[in-house]
Amino acid sequence: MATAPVGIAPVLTPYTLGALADTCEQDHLPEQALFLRRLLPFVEDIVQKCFVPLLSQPREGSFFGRFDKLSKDFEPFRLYLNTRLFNIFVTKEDVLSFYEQVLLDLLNPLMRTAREMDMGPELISAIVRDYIKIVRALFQAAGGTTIQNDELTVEQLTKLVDWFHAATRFDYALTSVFLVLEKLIPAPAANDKSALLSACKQALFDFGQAMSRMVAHESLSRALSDLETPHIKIKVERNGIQPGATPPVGQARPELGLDPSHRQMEMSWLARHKDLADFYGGQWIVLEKDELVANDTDYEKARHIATQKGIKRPFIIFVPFKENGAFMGI
Amino acid sequence: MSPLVDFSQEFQYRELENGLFPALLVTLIGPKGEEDLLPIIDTGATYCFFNGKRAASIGLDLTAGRHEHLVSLAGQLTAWIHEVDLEILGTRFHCEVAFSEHNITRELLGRHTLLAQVRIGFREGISTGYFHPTP
Repeated sequence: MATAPVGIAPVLTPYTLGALADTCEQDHLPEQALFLRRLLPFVEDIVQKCFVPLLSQPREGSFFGRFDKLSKDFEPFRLYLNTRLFNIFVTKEDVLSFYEQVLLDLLNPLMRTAREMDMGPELISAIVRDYIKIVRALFQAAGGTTIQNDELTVEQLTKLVDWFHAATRFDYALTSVFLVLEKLIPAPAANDKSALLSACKQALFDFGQAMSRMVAHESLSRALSDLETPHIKIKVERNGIQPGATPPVGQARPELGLDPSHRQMEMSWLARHKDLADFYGGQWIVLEKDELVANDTDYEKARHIATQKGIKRPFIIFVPFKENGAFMGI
Repeated sequence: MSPLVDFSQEFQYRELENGLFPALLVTLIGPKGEEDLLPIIDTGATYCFFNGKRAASIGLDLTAGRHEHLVSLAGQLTAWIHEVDLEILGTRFHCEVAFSEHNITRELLGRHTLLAQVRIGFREGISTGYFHPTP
């Protein structure tokens, strides 16, 4: 049975629809492009009905209560959209690569906005990459968008429905994040940013687990054990969220590994201290694990403090003064 | 057919003072010491370029190196070229690098002797870099 309309999350927003339509035109797929453009008013109405109430005022109940209710409201519309979408692309070869490329191309400008809005661009891009990794593994496991079994038992159908719900929640969460970055729904307050990204992160895990219960395959297990998202924690700081990369200690290196640096704690420290130039501009700083062990305008003095503390190989960097312009080389 | 290039390691861009940069943790290894730093990969720069203050700390006499004038966007810089080892993502590379005569605010990983030994790729759209320790 065809599972793609049920089981994956295409993140249809006015922006992604427009980008998909543009790419179709460039790929000489005018019918598909026209179809996507005709979907736009429907998608805009769904945004108003199911997404705007998540973050706009006045609010009812908690964030997670609204998230639960609105993601359920979204479910039939999503099924309708996905079914239509996959019907129109059913003849296109390697539709996943096509869609993946569009999604990744969209990330660039959105990550810039995510940085400006303190929305954790590292986490969002990791979630998108992980999502693609999971779906690619599904395609590898199932040989396409179809699971080769039309006669389902009650148990299998229950698992399929669970997967459908999980995919809807993830689609809802990631679509909400995209809509925030596209500025089509209200910008969330700091706590809501954190809650939205946490919901998105959790929904991704649930999506992967629900899929693996339905499709037991080595490629999927491998993809799920190799996700980046679990290693990015969300911390609320001031008006934004600061995701800190915290890869597990001692984890076996995947074939295409993340940076195996022994300085992850120092990198996390740097990622958390975006206002470094305000406090240490013009100074050399020495970091050791999660601690600033020395700072001085004089390199030798900063290094001396570190070596006096027994640090034989100091991680010592210069913090430039705050700059308004873009870096163009030395 | 499009060329396919393999990489063994992936790294995330680092958030520095004014944005995300393809910066890599590097251990600078000299005859008598070593230290870690975070230079930005600059494929337009001829040399790896480090602050001259680091030279003495790793056992080099700064001005004993080969004297070079480097041309930058901001004008000319005086530098001294030395042979060092750079450890990047677990692999050590012997390179000729430049140390600045005066203080510099950013340090760079440039082309000369380093990029010929490695493979580096970028996906700017997702702030991710790729690295492989052979050409």
